[in-house]
This record gives sequence, structure tokens and C-alpha cells, in this order.
Amino acid sequence: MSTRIVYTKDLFKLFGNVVALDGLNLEVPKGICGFVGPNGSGKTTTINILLGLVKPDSGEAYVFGLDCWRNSYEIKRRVGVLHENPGYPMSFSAQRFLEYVARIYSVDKPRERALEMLKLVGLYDVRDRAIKGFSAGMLQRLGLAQALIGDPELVILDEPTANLDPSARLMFLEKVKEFHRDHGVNFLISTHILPELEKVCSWVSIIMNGVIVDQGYLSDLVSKYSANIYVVETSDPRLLAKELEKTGFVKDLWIEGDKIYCKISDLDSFQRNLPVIASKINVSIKNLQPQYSSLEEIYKEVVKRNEK
Amino acid sequence: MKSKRNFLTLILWEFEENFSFPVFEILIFVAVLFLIGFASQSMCPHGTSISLLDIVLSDYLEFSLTGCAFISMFFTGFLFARSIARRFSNKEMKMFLSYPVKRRSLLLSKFLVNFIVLYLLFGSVLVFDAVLMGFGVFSPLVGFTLLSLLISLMFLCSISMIVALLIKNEALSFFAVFFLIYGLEQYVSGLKEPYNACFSVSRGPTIITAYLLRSYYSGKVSLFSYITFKMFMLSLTFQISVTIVLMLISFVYFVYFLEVD
Amino acid sequence: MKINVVLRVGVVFFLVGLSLGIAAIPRSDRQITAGMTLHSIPPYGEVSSSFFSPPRDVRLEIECSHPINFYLFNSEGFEAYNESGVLNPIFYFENGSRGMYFISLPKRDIYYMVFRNLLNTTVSFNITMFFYGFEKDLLHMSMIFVVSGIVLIVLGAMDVSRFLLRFRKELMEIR
Repeated sequence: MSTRIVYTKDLFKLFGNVVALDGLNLEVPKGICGFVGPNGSGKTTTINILLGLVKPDSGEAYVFGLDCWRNSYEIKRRVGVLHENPGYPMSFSAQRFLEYVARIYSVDKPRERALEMLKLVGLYDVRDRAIKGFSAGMLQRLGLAQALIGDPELVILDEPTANLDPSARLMFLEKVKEFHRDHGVNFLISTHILPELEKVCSWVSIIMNGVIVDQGYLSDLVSKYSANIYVVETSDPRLLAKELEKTGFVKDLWIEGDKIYCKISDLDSFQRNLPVIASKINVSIKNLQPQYSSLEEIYKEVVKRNEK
Repeated sequence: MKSKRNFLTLILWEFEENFSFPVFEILIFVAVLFLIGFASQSMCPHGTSISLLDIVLSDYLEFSLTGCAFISMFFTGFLFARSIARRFSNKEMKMFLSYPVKRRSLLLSKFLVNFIVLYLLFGSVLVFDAVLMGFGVFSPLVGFTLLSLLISLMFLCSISMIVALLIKNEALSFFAVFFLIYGLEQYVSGLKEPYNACFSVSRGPTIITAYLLRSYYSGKVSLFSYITFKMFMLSLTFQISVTIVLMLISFVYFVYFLEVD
Repeated sequence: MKINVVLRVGVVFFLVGLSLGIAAIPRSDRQITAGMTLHSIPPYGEVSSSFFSPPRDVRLEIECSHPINFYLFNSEGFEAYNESGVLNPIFYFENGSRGMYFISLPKRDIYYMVFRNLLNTTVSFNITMFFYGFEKDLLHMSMIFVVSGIVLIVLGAMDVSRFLLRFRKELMEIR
């Protein structure tokens, strides 16, 4: 894939007796990408390898085509990162901290840039306050500011919304979308909170036990895991099911509560004929959707399949 | 040019963070109080056989330099624990290593800032102490003391740095440095002469300064007449070689092998 | 209150002054005793000895077999005495054989004691010195640092630079 900015091949990492990564083949294209997996699946280890903080035992890892361990300095010039529970110099004010970070990224006017970032993340009014007086939400916004201050091409966010309340999470993700839309910054977001990730990301990589079990554009994953199973929510499932069994485009079906799960062979015919059949027998269709339409559902299905 | 600017930024950042209010102020207070309050004072000659210079010099070396070596053990342990070990435990080091900074620059900046501040602090106090005893700022005593302080402080800083790097916990690192050096002193005191003096953290700098002063004042003072050239070289070589070895190990470990998860 | 540079410098000055003042206490606590015992001065001769001292109080106890002249010089006075025989001691007694004398040494200096025998016989003597009291120059230095520190702290707390900037702006507006 020519637009991929992160690429790993057969990445392997052992910590003592624990296999953190077991042949990881990760691909991350441009855009806002999600990196999801259960606790201990190797997400943070992968991020640490990409940033040159940890050396893989074997395999290859590239960011922007550069080797992560040998060229980590060049990579870090183009990457911003917000780690999970990061440490900040607590005695510094927000402005002072960002000025220093800007200088490290060799930004031309570090003071102006720091103030600009503070305005963008909504911390301008508290710019002179010491970081130790910040709330969790403010710290995350500060973290986002320091990740973006060097004008990076890629920003890696590791559990960026873990300590935030729902409104703060929404606000944070809005900022992410804004930066991508207005400045073209690419994001790689590692998180557990899938419903919110789904609202912003276009690509998802799912990791389990140190291996990528699936990855791709969200729409493609939805299609893949739905496996042509559609869920029909209706007022009289038994009656409708009887009629659908007679059709040629429903291969199999089963009823759960007021829902009929239909495995279909011809989506077009199904979508065209279902309303006709329903109106003939006086049954109303409340809802029709693919079986796995949300990231959370896809994720659960993937985990279930790979646990077997 | 960019890397030099980056290095300067790291130095300023390290200074501002590690010596934030009131750490720097407390260090100055303790150093001045301890080194001036419990330092040497002039003694009158009991007879005419020992010269005034002898008495005053030996007084200064016995009290001031030895006291300085003792207190600098605490200071170096504390500062490097704060500067390095604490940054690992509070994840600040992970953040630093994620920025475009060269690892060697990062470690060097931490070492230099702590070393230079301590050197200026102790150097000023020792010079002041020498002035209180009637020596000029540019006297040989001051010159040789500052040289010996440079060597012994680098020695202590290198020990503190490697301990902090390996332990990665602030409190443990501080106590480890203290017990390591204390343990070294106890072990060394059991060795036979002259090794018990030459390998001592507190007496080593005294030997170096005393020998240099005696050489400078050749014939005029019989200062510490038991100190031979062999002892001087042993003390000097021990401190310098340990410093070099520990610094090399620290840098190689930090740059090539350290993994931060 | 924001910690600015002026405030920090003020705190440093204050603490240096405080530590010097406190350091003067254990230093004053040490009553140094020194002496020369059973020394002798040849007939019509002179013996001198020197010591370095901070500005402290000294109690001198002298015991001689015969009367002598005793002079205590600071380094300047001793140099003048050596060069031209000018007698300008900070303390002296003449024709004395025994006594206890209290002297307040004025400054940090090397002091020289000169024992002069005016008789035709060898004189033996004991001299004992007790140094006590605070080192006055240390206390003065301490006070100077403490006062400067307090002034700087107050200025820093008031954030004088901002005040001056605002004052300048207002002045320009008036003009």
C-alpha cells in the first residue's frame, strides 16, 4: 500500500517469558486510524517500538519508510505522541512547557507557537498556571498540544480519552477531527472506547495476543463481518419468517425475540422484496441493518473468533 | 546548529526543572551552613617548629575538604535521583525519549547541569572558606582545591548517575548511592595502608590536594609528610578511572540498550 | 504569587545570610585554646610568633620568669615594625611578667606577637590564648545578605518589573 505511513513485518518482542508481539504485521495508512485490542495485547509495545523506545527482537518496523530503531531521531522529528498517563514537569506552567517542547522541535517562534497551541486546545486562560494544578481533561488537552506543536505528519495517541468524562472525550475527539481536516495531520489512536473511535477513524487495526487479527477500512470490515447476515426487526417475526423461507434469496434464518436473522444470497432482491412481502401479510418492519454494523460489534466478533 | 540549540534547550530545561523553587535555595542553605559552620578554624601554633601555613592548610584539608566530600555524597545522590530516577518512575523520561532528542544529548545535559551547579556551589563555598582563613581567591590552596573538587565531584556524579539509571526509582536510588558510598568507605577503611586512604571518597581528595600543595610549597611546609607520590597517583588514578568507566557504561547503556516500556 | 527571578535571587541572598548567621554559632562555640609553653627569650633578644585569627575576642594569659615587653601587631603593623622599627601595635604591655589580658581582634588577619627581653638574662615564658565569641565579620556579612534578601523578596513579590512597565505605559498615554 503506497499510502501507508506505518508498516511492520513479522515483529516479535519478548519480555522475559512474556511474548508481547508474536509476528505483528501492522499497516497504517494516512488518515485517522484506530488501533484496538484487549488489555495486554501489545498495543503499547507496538507504539514503543515505532517510537524507538523499545528494540524488537526480530522483524521490521517502519514509519515513513524509515527504520524505527536505527532512524528513530528522524522519525521523531515528524511524529508527535501522547502516551498513556504521561509525565509532565509539574512545576512548569503550561506555556513554559510548550515553549520548551517547541524549541526541541526547532519551531521558529516557540513562544508564539506555544500560545497558538494553547488557544487551539482551549488552555490559553490557564497558560501561566502550574501543570500540577491541572485536571485530567486539561492534562489530556495539554498532551494533545505538545503532540501537535512540532507540526507533525503523524500523531500517535495511546489511550487519549481514558481518564476523561464523556463530554471531555467528545471534545477531545472533535479536536482530533479538526486537526486532521484543517491541517492534514494523520492520527494513530490506540483506545478501548470503540463507539467514539468509530466516529472519527476510517481505518482500524485489531490486535490480539501480539498479532494483528484483522485490519482495514471500517466500511470494509463491516461488510466482511456482517457476512451477509441482516437483522430484521418486525412486529410479527414468525409470520414474516415463514414467508421469507419460501423465497430463494434467504439461505437461512433464525428468530431471536422480535428479530429475524437472515443469511441472504442476493442482497438486491432481499432489499427490493422484503417490504412487498411484509405489506402483503400486514407485518411492519421496524428496522433493517447488517448484523455487525458497529466497530464494537465487529471487535467482539473478531475477539470471539480468535479466542476459539 | 539545530542539535546545538536542542542541547542548550535540554540544559535549560533540566536546570529549570531539577532546580525549581525551593530546591536550589535549600541546597545553597545546607551547603553554606554545613561547610562554613562546621569547617575548620585557624589554630594557633603550639610551638615554632610547625609553620603557620602548615597548620592552616592541614586544618583546611582535614575539615573543609573532607566535610565537602561527605556532604556532596548526599547532594549528588539526591540530585541524580531527582534528575534521572524520578523521570523514569513518573514517565517523564518516556516523554523525553519520544521527542526528537539524541539520547546522548539528553543524558549529557542531565549530567552537566547537576555537575556544574554542584561544582559552582561547593567551589564557591570552599573558596569562601579559604578566604575566611586568610587565603586569597587566586592562592594555590584554592586552585588545587578546585582541581581536586572537580575530580572528586565527577567521581561521585558518575556513581550517582549510573545508580539512578539502573534503579529508576527516586527514593531507592538516593539510598542506594548513600549506602554504596558508605559501604565503600567502610570496606576501604579495612584495607592496609596506603590503600585505605587512597581509595577513600573523603580522604582521596585531601591526599591529592595535600600532595600538590606540598609540591608547590616544596620545603616550606611539611604538610601531611606521609603522603607519597604513589599515594597521590593511586588516589588520582582511582577516581579518574572509575569516573571514566562508569560514565562510559552509563552512556552506552542509555544510548544503545535502554528500553522504556 | 508568581516566583520570578528577583524573588528567587532574594530568597538565595536571604538564605545565604541566614546560613552564615547560623554558621557563626557553632564557630563561636569553639573556644580555641592555643599556647606556647616554656619558651625562652635570649638576653636583650626578641622572639616572635604568629597566628591567624578571625575578628574574635581573645583572652591572653602570660606568665614570665622576668618582666618583658609584649607587642601584638596586625600584619601591616608587623611589616612596618620589621622595616623601620615603628611600634604601632594593636595591643601591648611593657615591663610585665604576668597577667590576663582581654583583646578584641579587629579583623581577619595574621597577628604577630613580639616578646622583647630588656634584661641581661634569659627569660622563659608561657602564653595561653583563649579565643571566644562570634566572628564579627561573619555576622556583619550575614546581616547584609539578610537585609538585601528581604529587599529583593519584597521587590520580587511586588513584581516591580510589571509595575514599572505599567507606569511607563500610563506615562506615555498622559503625554
